[in-house]
Amino acid sequence: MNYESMPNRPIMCIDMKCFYASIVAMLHGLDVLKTPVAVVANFNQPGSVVLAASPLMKEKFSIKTGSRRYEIPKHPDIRLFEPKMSFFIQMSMTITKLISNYVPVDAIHVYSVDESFVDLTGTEKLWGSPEEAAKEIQKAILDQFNIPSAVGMGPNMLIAKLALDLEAKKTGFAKWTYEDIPKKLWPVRPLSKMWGIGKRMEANLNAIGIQTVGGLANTDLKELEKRFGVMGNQLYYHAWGIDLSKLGEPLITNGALSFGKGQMLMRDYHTRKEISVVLLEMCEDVMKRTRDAGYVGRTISMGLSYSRNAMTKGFHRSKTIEVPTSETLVMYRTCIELLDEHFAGEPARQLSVRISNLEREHSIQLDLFDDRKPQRQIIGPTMDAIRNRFGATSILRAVSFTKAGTAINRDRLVGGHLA
Amino acid sequence: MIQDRGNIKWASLMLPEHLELLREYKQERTEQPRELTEWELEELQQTIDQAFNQQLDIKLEVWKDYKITQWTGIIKSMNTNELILETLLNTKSIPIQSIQSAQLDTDYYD
Repeated sequence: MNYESMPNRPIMCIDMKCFYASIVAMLHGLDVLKTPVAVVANFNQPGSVVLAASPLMKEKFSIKTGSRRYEIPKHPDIRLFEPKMSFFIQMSMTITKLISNYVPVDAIHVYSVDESFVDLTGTEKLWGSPEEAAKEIQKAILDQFNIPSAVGMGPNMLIAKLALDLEAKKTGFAKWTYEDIPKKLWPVRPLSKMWGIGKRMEANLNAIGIQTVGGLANTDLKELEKRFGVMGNQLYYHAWGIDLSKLGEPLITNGALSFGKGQMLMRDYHTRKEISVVLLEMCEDVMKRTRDAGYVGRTISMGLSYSRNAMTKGFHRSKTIEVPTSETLVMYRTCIELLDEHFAGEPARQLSVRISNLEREHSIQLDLFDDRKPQRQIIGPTMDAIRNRFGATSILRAVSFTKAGTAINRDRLVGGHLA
Repeated sequence: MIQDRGNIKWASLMLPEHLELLREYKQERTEQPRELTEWELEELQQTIDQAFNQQLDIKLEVWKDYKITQWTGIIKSMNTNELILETLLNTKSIPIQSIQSAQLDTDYYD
């Protein structure tokens, strides 16, 4: 592989170590490195997941992210907290602002609440070599917020991320170059340890005899493309550490615009009737956002995953309707059609809905045989206006007051967790 | 041929509330300079020409790094892209594009 013409910028990927735990620790004046701290989604449910655990929590009590509330032993040293999502987001913003003291805003790409890419090009005069700049940023975050971090560096976003995931998360800092790819990336197995390869893709690759990233890199490109299309092409080049994406390019383009929502249900939902209640609430929320942004859409997709003890896997299907819409009930009806076509009658645990294929709402297509359309067109925005003014639960559909409804409880949540 | 999917692959699962804050922040930080009207540009040019020809002190408002800074000095030279301003302490090159307003310092005392 000829790396000569490939991008070669000083990119770093910085990850806040046990972000949520570090922040609650800071908030309560505890040292996250000396106290076993865990953030648990909800105290009242024993099956609730651990969202973050401090290093001591991991070492002494082997509780890590994804463990359950009931697995945590009773011990006087252990400090448990519930999440404060809006505060976590605020802290993430504060850290982003701190980083922007070192580089222009456009050189920061926030990847998640606790992870960001930073292009350190041109900072040499101010902060020394990119490594020094990176360490300076890590130090500033530790000094100001007592949040430890890990940094991976590389000539492009992909390698920075791989250096972070595969090495720096253990050592705190790692810098890879293209030359490191064969010796550091190729031995990686199972394949899903590599960014961009999920469990399903791993199974597909194993099925054709590929076990390691090196195996992937030495597979015939044509063969991969034939099997996996564009993804095959991407997999191949990723295995060689090649990534042409430009940090700083605006992320959200209109072409891929869509509105959607997913939620994990708090218990198994068994019947079509119960599921449809939640679907209606979700459609209402998604369509409100669509209307607020001034769009109408034609493609409606719906996903449903069954509870872990179900026999079948879930489904994800979509339907494209004739006339673009922003009406909640049109979306809801389409979702119900999809549900009726694909629902296997097993207990459901996770739902998602999405509207895509959007276009600007220029005018309403009137229908000679549908004389109630103008009225229906007004009801949505009217309800939106009431919600915008008096809060999301100020006006609800009656189904939300049934046992299956989730809107009232979820109003207090951000990202599915306590605000 | 590399079929890079570009930045799409880095689109992650971000909370809408977080995205909204980020968008606001970026907007705030990338505030564009004010678009000048034709007559403002004309007046700007006249003022700069006069200051240059008569070597008068001029006060410029310059847009840089999301904010406006003021510079006072004498224009040493200029071309269509930039002008060289000699202030009390040093010499700066200022892109013509980024000048938001100009005022002769003498006018100040009228």
